[in-house]
Amino acid sequence: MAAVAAEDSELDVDALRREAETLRSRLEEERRKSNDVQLRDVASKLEQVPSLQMKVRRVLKGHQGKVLAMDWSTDKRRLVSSSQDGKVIVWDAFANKQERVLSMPTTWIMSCAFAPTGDIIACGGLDNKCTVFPIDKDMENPERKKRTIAMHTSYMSCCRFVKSDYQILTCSGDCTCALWDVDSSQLMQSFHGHISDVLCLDISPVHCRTFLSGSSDKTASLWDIRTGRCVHSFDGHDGDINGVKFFPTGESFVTASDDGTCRLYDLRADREVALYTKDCMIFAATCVDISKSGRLMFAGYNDYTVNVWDVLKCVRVGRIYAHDNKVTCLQRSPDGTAVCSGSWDTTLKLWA
Amino acid sequence: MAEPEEVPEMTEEERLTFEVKTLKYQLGQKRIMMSESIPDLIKFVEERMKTDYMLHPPPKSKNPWAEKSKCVLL
Repeated sequence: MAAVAAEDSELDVDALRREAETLRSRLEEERRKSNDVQLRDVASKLEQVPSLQMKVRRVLKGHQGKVLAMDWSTDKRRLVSSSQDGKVIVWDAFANKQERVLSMPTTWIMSCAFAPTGDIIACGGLDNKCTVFPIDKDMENPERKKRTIAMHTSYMSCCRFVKSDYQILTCSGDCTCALWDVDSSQLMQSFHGHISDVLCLDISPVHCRTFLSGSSDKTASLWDIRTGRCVHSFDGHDGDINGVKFFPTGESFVTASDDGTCRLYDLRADREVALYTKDCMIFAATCVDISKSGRLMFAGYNDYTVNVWDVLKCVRVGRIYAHDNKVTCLQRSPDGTAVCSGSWDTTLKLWA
Repeated sequence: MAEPEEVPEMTEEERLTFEVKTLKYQLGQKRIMMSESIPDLIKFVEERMKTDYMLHPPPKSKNPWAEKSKCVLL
């Protein structure tokens, strides 16, 4: 009887596999149907962007190891950065001053985030956790008040506050993303679907009901925060997706990948819309962000540069020899006046 | 502090059932043509380009990152 049951089960698995294959082909077919015009063709009649005037305005020195992540504060002048050396630094970027230096018990802090009020920072990485520290003005010793609010079964690659100081989204090398309540440290929702490490996430700028994830399974997914459902999943990249960022409309997004390219995907047309690359570009793109209007895209690469792309015309319009080692993180300031980049060369730089 | 629920190891059958369900849901999503989506994207960007500081840098007096004047009134 057991042998028959096992055989039946195998048949079921085969049938399911075939069904999944058929569904995937149909999905591809539907996406091909919406591809009736190309972005670069429609944008060819637009004027070229004015030549870039950006210069380095600040060099933030203080980390002793590779800078792995950074996040701007909503106050537009402070930012937080984290490093391989186990330190998390809160900077007043205007004044080029270190406001706080927090020491973590482990090295390789792969992500850090500023809470919307600016009173808390979150960080974590190879410790598989997300830890929060209160850093409001009166807090004398933040390290004493730190709390672990999230646990994964592998490294935590990215953490971000969802609209308020009370909820954090994390993603991990354990292939999942998770939503946590900061006060109770309770897991509120988990997001399953990726078949390899999830490396990055970005929350919708429009309504915070959805978020994007990028994975080393070479796909980017859009998730419904409330239900945990994967609403869209996009392939196309030939390598790990290291960075993912919503377009200001919330209806498109850009990705940066180990395959050396960045891509633009449209959620309404449900497909890849543009590819940003040049023949000579073989180094991984590690991080990406967009200017306030959406016209320019900034991407950091393993060849130590930041490339600036015209999102609409799909051409490179600038190349910044930004650092002396790999660029690992990059984020536009909340008011759109500057871009901050962080690197294995232990510094962060501000461009404006 | 709550630990994440241990994700129960899914059998191959369970994993595929979940995948089929997700794919059916994604297939059922409404799609629009690029010829409708792209012009909207371009319009959005063009409307905001004039106030994009990375395309049109603000004057030094308004640029929070610009160096202050080198001259100091004594």
